[in-house]
Amino acid sequence: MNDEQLRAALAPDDTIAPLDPARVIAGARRRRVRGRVAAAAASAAVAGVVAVTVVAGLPRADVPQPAGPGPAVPVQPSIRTPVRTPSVRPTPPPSATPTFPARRTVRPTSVPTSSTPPGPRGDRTTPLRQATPSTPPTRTPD
Amino acid sequence: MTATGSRDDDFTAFVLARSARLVHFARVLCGDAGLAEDLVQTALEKAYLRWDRIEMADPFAYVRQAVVNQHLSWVRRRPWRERPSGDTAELELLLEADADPSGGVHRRVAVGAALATLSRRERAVVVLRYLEDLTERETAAVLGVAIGTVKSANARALDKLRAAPELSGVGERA
Repeated sequence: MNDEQLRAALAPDDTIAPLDPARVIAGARRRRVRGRVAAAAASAAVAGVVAVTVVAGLPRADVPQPAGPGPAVPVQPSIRTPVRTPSVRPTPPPSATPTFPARRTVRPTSVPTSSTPPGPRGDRTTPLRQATPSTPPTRTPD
Repeated sequence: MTATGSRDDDFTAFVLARSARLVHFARVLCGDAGLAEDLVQTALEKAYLRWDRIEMADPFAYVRQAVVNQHLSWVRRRPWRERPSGDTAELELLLEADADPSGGVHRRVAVGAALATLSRRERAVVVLRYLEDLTERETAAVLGVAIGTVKSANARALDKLRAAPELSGVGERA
């Protein structure tokens, strides 16, 4: 079979009847109605989603707003998880011989007395009386 | 006469004059008589909705293009749709073949069976080239592919068709 015979074999015969135009037109009108309904439903769905989004995004008047951050609460470790014994920070050696050698406290260069007036506000050159750990910490690893 | 009435009259005349040819085209394209009618019906419905725009151009080419597009998309959806168990039109042709002295019906059956071995794109190329007598460029435009794709698909299709004993000379000039 050559090209021409293939064309002849594919050629239309007269056995096929034409379609009914009224049926085609009715189907087209149904298709148009379906298309409009689908478009309207899609538009309504989009409008609904937009409306919900806008309403959800507005601040609500009946809900009190937080006044601000509350007082800071020190965080306590809830579980005992020491991994090592905290080291004692060495105290600076006093420049003068301490009056009470048994107590390892930070002393100023001049031995302060209780009558020593405090320095000016913010002056940190004079060390304050501060308790230093005189005994090693009692919490040890388990 | 109203514009809608005139429009309907024009469309009705077109359907009566060309739908049989379109159904035959769709039948060769998809190999299924029932599916072919569905394809043409759907394509004509879409054409009716745009009739004002396509009437001035080439309505037959528009509907043929719609049939091809519809066929390719329906084939992709085919696994989720119903599957035909067989084509009775082919069986009717076989019964007619006994009373056909020229062998034309035998040839039609052989061509139909050979076309069934092609892929959908190869089949579309063969149908557009040999049934519709389109050029390679026009076929490429209808299918929305490059001309090289049409050429290679056509060559592969002819190789497959030549494998059938009745179609051994396909691709040679008469």
